[in-house]
Amino acid sequence: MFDRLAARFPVLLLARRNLARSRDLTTLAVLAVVISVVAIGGIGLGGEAFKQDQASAFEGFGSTATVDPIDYEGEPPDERGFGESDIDRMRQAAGDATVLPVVSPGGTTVRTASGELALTAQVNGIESPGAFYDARAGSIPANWRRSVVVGARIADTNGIAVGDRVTVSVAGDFERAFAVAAILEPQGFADPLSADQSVFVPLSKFSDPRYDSAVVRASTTTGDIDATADAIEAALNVRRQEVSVSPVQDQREQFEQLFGTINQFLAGIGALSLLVAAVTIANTQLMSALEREGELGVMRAVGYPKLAVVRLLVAESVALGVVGAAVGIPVALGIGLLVNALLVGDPLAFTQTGLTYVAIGALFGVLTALLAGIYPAWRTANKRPVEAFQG
Amino acid sequence: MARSVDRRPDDAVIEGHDVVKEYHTGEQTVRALKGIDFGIASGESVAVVGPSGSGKSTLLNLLGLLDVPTDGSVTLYGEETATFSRADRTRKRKDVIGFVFQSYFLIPTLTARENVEMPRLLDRTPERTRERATELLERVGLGDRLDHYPDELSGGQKQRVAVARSLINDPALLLADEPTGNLDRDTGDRILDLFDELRETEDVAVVTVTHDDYVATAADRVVRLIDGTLRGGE
Repeated sequence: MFDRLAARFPVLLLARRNLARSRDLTTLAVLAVVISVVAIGGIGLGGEAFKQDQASAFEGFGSTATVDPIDYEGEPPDERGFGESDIDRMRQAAGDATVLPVVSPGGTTVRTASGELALTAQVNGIESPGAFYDARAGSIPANWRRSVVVGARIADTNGIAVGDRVTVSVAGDFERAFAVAAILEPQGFADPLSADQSVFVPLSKFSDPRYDSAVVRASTTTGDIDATADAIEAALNVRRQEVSVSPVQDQREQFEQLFGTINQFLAGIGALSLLVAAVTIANTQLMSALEREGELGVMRAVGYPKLAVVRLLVAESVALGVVGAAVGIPVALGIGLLVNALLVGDPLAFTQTGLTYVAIGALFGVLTALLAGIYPAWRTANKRPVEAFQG
Repeated sequence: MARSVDRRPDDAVIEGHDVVKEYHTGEQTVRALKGIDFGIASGESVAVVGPSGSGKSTLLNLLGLLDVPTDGSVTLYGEETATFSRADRTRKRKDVIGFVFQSYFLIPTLTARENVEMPRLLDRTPERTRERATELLERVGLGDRLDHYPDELSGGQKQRVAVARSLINDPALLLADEPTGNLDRDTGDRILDLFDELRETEDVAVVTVTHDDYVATAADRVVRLIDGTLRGGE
């Protein structure tokens, strides 16, 4: 097949034969392109897998939003946050969505049964954690008054188990021991209440009648969190902006955008290897042209136009790029398979963006080879044939 | 060849009148040819002899349209070569002139036949080119070496491949620069015989530049070039 192709495109024949002549130089030049394609494609695919892995933390929070109060300077403390009436208005606006008021007091401590301080624990007061979370161990009581529910990370790092007693202290409010009713399933960093780090205490234990925020979850069958968010904002931001509603999905988009930018930046750094490839190819072609000066001079003497010599030499460097890309693509995809398997759990979890990185890497590999080949080719073809074959 | 203008042949392939060629090296100007007249008729055999630096290579470059004179005129089939563009000269070289070099300049990665095909490789007539290359290699006695690479051939065989290559475009003028310089006497003789045969059968004019008086004696006409001027023919 190659012979037929060579008869049709004789430049290909000459290019292939010549590249085979200086095998070591050719291999190095191809390797430089392979490294570039793998650097760009591999970073792209790896970054995408990492993004998918991290974004999976948002799964399950797609229909959730947080509602935060906007407090104005000079507002009396008893008007800060949300009151009972605010929560009622939210519930009315939210229709069949669940609205859960949250108290997140400052100055809290949590001690385990052995008296050790659970350092990173946050204390959150909510009515019914069962509306949002599932228990990994124990069960979340329906009518919840005397126990606490503990997040997975706090339980694991402090050795807290169901049935243990923990002491929760809220500065200026209460300090008392609770039995641990349940340990929650891990939720990941996207959870609006940071449940993994939290100790949930029944709302009734707090004497302050104000809430610090609220969490809204749209109905899984009929709800649309964006519409719900708009409805809440419309209902509460009448005279001035009192609340800000941010769907977790928006945070996910911001997060993905951020990761996308970081990934582009990293792939850009990977693209620096293209410069190395360009220098290697230019060097290979300059040396090769120098070595063949006599032959190329004879080609010019026997009637090869200048452009034919340029075409021949550029075809050689493009061939280096094409072979480099052809080797680099499967290597980059192999790295992608591995990273996908490790981070996402599915080797074939390629994203379109990830594959685009590989395609861009390959395209730029060939383009770099083409550009790197032009100068040596032009320089050689411009030599007068007399100079070329008389040394 | 060292004829005066009025004695230039009527059927000249290439002619020169009062041809001067100067080179500039730094501040110095070297006058390699100092106003010479020449004419090469079709089918003629001419040997150009002379010591190193006498201007032989310069003359060969002008005959081969690889260079243009500083002054005077060189015409190819009556057309002034100074009016040719570079692309024109490249095309004319391909159509009219064949080159044979002392160091053969075969492409080591191409077989004997591919080397002979090389000047016509871009013509998109692969079958005709292949037939002609095979025929020429058979003609120079290398019909059994078609698919051999240059490093599998002896010096004489390489030069015969180079001669076959120079003929692939059916040139009217064959320029040979020290064609036997790298060969022993017997092999060299065979190359010279080949030139004679080609001249007779293909009507090719052969101009040989040589240091070697023995090579010169094989030509119809010998021209001595000394210090950029022609010193009569034999």
